[in-house]
Amino acid sequence: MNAHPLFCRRTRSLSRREFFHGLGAGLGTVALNALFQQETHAAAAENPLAARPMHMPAQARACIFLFIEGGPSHLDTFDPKPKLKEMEGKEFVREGKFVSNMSGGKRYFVPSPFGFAQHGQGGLWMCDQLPHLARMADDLCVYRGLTVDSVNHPEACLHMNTGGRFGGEPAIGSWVTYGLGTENQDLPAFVVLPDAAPQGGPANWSNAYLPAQLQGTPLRSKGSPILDLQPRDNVTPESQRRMLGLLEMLDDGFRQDHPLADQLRARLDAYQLAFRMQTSVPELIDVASEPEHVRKLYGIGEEPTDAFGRKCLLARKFVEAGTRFVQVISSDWDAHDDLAQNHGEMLGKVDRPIAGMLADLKQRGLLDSTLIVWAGEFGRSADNGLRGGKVVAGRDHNPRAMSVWLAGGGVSGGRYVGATDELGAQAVETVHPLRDFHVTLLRLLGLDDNQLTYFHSGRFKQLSQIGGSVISELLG
Amino acid sequence: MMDTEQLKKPQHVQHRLDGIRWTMCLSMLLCCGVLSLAERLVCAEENVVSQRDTTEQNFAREVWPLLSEKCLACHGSDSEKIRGGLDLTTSAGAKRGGESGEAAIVSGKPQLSPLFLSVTRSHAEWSAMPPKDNDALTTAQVETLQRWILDGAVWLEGEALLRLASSAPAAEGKVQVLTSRALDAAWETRTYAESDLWAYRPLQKMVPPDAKTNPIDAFLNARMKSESVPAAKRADARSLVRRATMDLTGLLPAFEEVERFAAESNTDAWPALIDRLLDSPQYGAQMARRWLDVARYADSAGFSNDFDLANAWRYRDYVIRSFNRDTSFDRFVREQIAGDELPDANAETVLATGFLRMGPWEHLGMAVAAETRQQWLDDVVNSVGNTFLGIEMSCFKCHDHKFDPLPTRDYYAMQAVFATTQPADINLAFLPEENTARFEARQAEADALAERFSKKSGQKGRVAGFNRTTIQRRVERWAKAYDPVALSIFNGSTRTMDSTALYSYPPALDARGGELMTVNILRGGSLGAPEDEVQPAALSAVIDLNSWTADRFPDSAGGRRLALADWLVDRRNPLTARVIVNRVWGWHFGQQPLVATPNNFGVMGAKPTHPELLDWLAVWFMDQGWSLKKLHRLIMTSDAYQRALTLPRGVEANRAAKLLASFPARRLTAEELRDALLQASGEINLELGGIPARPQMHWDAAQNPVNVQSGIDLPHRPDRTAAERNKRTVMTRHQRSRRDPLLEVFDQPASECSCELRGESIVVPQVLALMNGDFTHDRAIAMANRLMKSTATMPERITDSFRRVLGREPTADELQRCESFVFEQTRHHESHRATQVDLRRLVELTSAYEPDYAKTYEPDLQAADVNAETRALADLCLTLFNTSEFLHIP
Repeated sequence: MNAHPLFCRRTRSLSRREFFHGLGAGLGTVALNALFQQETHAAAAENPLAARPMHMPAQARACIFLFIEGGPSHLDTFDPKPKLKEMEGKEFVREGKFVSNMSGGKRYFVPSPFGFAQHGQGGLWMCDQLPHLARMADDLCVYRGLTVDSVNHPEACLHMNTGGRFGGEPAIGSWVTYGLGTENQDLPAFVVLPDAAPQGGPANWSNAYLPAQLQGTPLRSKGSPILDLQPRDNVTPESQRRMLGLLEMLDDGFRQDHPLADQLRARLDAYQLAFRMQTSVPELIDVASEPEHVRKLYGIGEEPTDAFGRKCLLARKFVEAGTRFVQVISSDWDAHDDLAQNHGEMLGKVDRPIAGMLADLKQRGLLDSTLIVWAGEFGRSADNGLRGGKVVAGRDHNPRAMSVWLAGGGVSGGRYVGATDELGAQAVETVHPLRDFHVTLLRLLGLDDNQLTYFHSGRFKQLSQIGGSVISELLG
Repeated sequence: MMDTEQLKKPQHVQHRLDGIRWTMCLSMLLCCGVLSLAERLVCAEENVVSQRDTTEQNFAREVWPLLSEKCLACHGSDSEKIRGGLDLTTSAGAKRGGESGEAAIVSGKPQLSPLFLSVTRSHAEWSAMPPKDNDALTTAQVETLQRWILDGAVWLEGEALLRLASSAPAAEGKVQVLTSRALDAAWETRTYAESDLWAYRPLQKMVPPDAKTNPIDAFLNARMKSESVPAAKRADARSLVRRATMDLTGLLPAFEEVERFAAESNTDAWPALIDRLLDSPQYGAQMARRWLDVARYADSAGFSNDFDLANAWRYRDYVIRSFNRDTSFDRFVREQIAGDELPDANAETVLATGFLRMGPWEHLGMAVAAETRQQWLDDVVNSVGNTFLGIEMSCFKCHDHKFDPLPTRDYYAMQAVFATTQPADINLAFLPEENTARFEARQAEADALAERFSKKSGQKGRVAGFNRTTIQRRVERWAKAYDPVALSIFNGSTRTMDSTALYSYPPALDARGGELMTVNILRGGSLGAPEDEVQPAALSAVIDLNSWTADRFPDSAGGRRLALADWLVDRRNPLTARVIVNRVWGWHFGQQPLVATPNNFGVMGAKPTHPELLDWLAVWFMDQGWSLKKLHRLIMTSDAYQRALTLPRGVEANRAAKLLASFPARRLTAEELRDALLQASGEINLELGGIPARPQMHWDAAQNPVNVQSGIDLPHRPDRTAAERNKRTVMTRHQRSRRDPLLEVFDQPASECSCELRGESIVVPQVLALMNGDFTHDRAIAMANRLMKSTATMPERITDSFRRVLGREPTADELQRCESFVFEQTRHHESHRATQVDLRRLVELTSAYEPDYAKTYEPDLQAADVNAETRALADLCLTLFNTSEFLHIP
């Protein structure tokens, strides 16, 4: 018996799939398209970034994943628990073999510092720190049945973003682009807009064992958006062309009779593409070229919304231009100590930009085909422990209850799926593990988790790790 | 459709034939000494009986294992998770059917049996089962079910099933393996294709087909001859010296060395060159880099804080020394797993146990201690499996292995080996052979930093824009690097971790409380569901298939790891030697090992392309005292290693590569690339060992904010002196959360887990890093500056640049083209001044927390510091750095 065909990935005999480059970062390639024109159709299908048919009819063709890092509190945003007000300050003790240092010992209940009201036709509850998003309430489907496995930030971040808790697994965006390719070969297929690298680091957008071109491309908010995209300022297009010309000449001779001739040619084609990107990427990410009213919609040019507003606007621009998966990250939601201050500030930063993005996508007719996801790595506890011997109004981590929401992508809004218990400590209705949520996201994008597999380390790997079920309530 | 008559008839006959074949097979196996298997076969031989029995046997042997593997996960094994209401654990359940109300099996009528229709995956009404395409039944398996239903769907249950399943003869070419005990009794009755278990089976004593040549060539040539594939000619001398030097030292040969070797006509020149390279201390550095990939090495612990591991570099340097000393590989294995338990344990062998500590590790306030402990055990067990056995242990942690004869019990038996092992950062005086140069100055620097961020500093909240407490905890660890601490382990109780003050540090040696840990099987991997307690033991399949009897290890607190290590390197263990010779083969032949999956020799791994050669090498390697240097020498003196890259006429590339008819090309690894750039520019510092150097990293990446617990990490601050920054890449700091983009884009692996082979992707960021990046630009300027001073004329400088980068002279055409290139670029630079880069400012940005750092920083030469002609020459150097010729091993 011979080796599994996919093993050739590991050997010298690189398949075409291997050496087709993108900004690996993600960029598909024009040069490649030229190459493909001389190829058979079958060979073209090997480009991991070529747009591909979905496994099944899809509701969405692109996804913007708002990753809210640090553990946003469901109890202070979308899942109010009036009972906590009654329990305010009530003390109890938690002990046991599986109780951690921080969640054990003397505890007391913490009510939400925010007011709540119902919004829209569907009557979704939202805290008073989300006045803009409240107007889009009928577009949101809030899911309260999700549970995760880890109470630590890095493992939980990796779990939410890659399906595995310890790194070394491909990000959702990598899986999605692996399954669907991208509609614009000139742009990154999977873009990440981080504040800072989240806990767990760049492994949060890693391609892991999938081909390198499926890695997320983090766009930096300061300086060059992509490292080294631009040449030195004393380089002119003419002097750059002269260098490329010399490089071509030196390589042409070497490539003849070389067993890796095809790969070496592909490598040189990447230089041409890099050259083109030096103009195409800055054009796309030029926020200033957007009309004033659009920038205003996102809160750009104002505080505290400017930074996150820019990211949300970029997310829209990328999706509009054909990028498949954009992850927008908001960090610092870890409110152990002062919930009102932390969440007050953080919600203020993201409320208007997100609402603006939803409205903008809707207005452009893109919301139906773009799935928006809001999710942190876990929810927060109804109770808190003493911090430095003092009672403070914060919350610890809670993997057993959280709120995530979906919008667009054909998901009908203004409704809840699932519920938590009276104190919001535990999901009790339509409860699903994270892998089911991942399977559902793939399904909304027309992908079947069981078919979206890659042979690695002796088995077929998949986003859900071990397979999962679609949360049917979230569809439609 | 199949002819049912034909299917029915031969069954009885077939089994009789099987009996005869088994007898033959039996005598062969006895020769190999497979006693326990043989005993079972004898029983089986006596069991061949009537037709009815045959169909029952067929059910027990073929059908039931198939149902267990493919159906029961959702249809019976877990009574709480039965899908579609269908329970296939009993005949009654199958007849009752599921929610459809139809019986799953209609005896004698496969076309009316939903179970059969589902597995064909092509029926309009019954959806494809199992749901995952990858789990689909093979054609042969579908036929097995069809035949069974046609034959009346005979069903056995309970004791009768188990009895028959374990005693009936296996089908032709299949074997049963006696393992410890499975979670699921039906799993134990599985049979395996003999060829799938190749790696578990005893090493075969092979005889090279031709006694007159290097045995490697004897095997390879015989194969090429049988496939009528001619060999490529010998590579030219210049290519060979570059290939050998890069392979063994990770460095470019000096041009003079290339010339000298090319001029040698003596046939001893080649082995002499190999010996010289093996004697170079840089050999150890190159091999260490390869080993550290497998050993998941990093200088920091990953996860939330990504704190520095306590002097991980001491393990790195131990690895370098071990390769340089040619420590026998069996000893190397024993030191890394049980260096503290060896009869002759010493400081060096204790440093070796750092291997067990290399995985990511962290314990935070929100974490449950038992889970943190479990994560460490999983990491160690997985790493030992990948590294030494070529077995993916994680595949049978939650359930018995789906493909290999590895029950979950064995996973936990391996874990029990480490259950009394406790991670600890211990005090271990520096050895004379350890590099502690410049410790004093560096310690003063670290202490000053620790002081600046300490509580006593009186600074509240923020220091230089950083959260003081966040940074305090980081720099304290930096300062600790100068204490003689080592990453190690000891035997003892598992202490309760109940203080937040302890978190992120493993408990100290004298920490209180705790008891000796016992290990239970955790069904589904859940700590909340402990089942049978297990004792430390070897992998039962390896024991069974290699005629071992003793598989238990001591259950005292100490000695368990030593027993495991001894078992790993016992000559009866066929895996360890196969795994390492395969790795070394891949290190030499363009990352193309004989088994394409060096970390997975299991059923789902690749099969060896040259099984006889692999076994011959493994046996020879052990006979030679497990000497890696001898193995390198043997491989490199083969004709196969010395062949040209050029394909023999008419032979397609993949075929030539597979048969080694030509030498398989590979690209430089990320580290080799960075080192070669520094060599070409004349800046490399070959000093080995010591605290990791902080290299020049992309200035933007160095400052990228990285979230750590309750704050942002400090930026990466390059070392003050160029000499420190320009150390070989294996000597530089490898921080898990902040990687050097130049290395990352050239496929340097992340180190969460063992990396078996480097990728060779082609992505645009590689172009950007090589063409526009600071690092390559700075090297080009340094190189051009050197050339301008060392030679008088431009043609000489161009010639010299080719020698330094490509190891050859330019052709006349190339020289002419380069001359006009430099001429035109000079004119360009005369009218385009280079902007003065404010390096000091950049250094300040990355060391804002350390006043005065920038003032004493020794900057690299910048474009603006040199004239137009030098900049033009630098453009040529940069172009050479971008050539495929530079980036690939010839």
